[in-house]
Amino acid sequence: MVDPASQTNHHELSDEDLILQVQQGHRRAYDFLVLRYKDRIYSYILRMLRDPDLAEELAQDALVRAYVNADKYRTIARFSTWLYTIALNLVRNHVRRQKRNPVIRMPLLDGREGGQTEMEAPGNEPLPDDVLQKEETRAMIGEIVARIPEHYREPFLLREVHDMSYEEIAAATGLKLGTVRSRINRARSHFRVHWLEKFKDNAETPDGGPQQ
Amino acid sequence: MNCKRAQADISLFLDERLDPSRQAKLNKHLEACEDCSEYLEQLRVGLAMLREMPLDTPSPQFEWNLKRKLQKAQLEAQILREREGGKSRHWAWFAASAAAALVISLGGAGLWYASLDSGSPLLSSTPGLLSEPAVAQRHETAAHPVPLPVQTNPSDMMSVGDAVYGPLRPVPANPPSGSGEAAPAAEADSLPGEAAE
Repeated sequence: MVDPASQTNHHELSDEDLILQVQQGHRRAYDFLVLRYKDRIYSYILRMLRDPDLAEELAQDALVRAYVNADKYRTIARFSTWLYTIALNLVRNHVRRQKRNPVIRMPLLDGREGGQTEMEAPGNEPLPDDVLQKEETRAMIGEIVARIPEHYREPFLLREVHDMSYEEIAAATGLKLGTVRSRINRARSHFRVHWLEKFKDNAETPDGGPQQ
Repeated sequence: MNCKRAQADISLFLDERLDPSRQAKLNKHLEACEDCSEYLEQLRVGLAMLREMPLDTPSPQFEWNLKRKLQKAQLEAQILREREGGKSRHWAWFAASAAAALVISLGGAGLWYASLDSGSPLLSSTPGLLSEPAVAQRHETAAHPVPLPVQTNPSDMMSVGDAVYGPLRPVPANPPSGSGEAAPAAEADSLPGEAAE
């Protein structure tokens, strides 16, 4: 069972130390990894697939797979890279299955149709303006990201949102370093185009986008 | 430097991965090209918005469902381990049984060899590779029955086949056909492939 001494400093341990503890049978160490990564993995999958329920399910599956296969983790890669690789494979498998058996979903990918998005607050109580503004911005950014072609979006999100280096992205996605570079560049071009479409009306506002 | 190249370099510049010589070229291009300067500025602002967005958080049920899945996975792993343990116990039992069977059969073989000299009925009831009744039956159904030699020793069984189908010979790679037949004797003695030469 867990050594009381090690239990007290779990917060200070690196991801790699924690997963090594899991390998040694200290199951509780995994709780700390879950706490560190659940939002990140969920967020990544949500921005890839734009389906909150599915994102939750796949994020859980990724965390379960990482736990079940903890003994296969080797310290040559960072734990985060390894976990994102697992999540990415689940996303890719899902997309592949969906292409084979397409399922019609609510128009989350394009907020222009006014479909209910996951960004809307639950309940009927009115929200303060600044909260509404933030939620609206978040929804718009989500839509912009969703319009970037999938194979560019993968490395783009890992770079922009999850702050991974090109080398880590290459390891997580299985792409060559040059391909990572070019895909991030192309994704940024797409992002800029769609960002301008969404935010050019706000360009004159103090916190708005660029001047046209 | 053209604009396409400049925009690729802008992406590397944003990630601080542009080497100094190309950085100098890019700076020079940006001074002269308003479109690329604008491109850089728009990317800076847009990407900053994306980066500043807080991460999405899953529903409150997320952790409960995850816990349930983890427990299920643990249970499945445990069952699998137990099954594998059961399998290994089964294999251990099987190996022990096989070893016992081997010991018994070796003992039986020893008894069989011992009985060779003594003319024991054990010998006649032991079937050979092609037991006599089976050979007889096979020849009865053949188009041209051949009188069978009496077989008592398994090492002589090949001669039974020889009597019916002719002696075993190597098969030529290109069997002769039509009028160009090779001499059967020469063919029979040659190795596969040689007959054609």
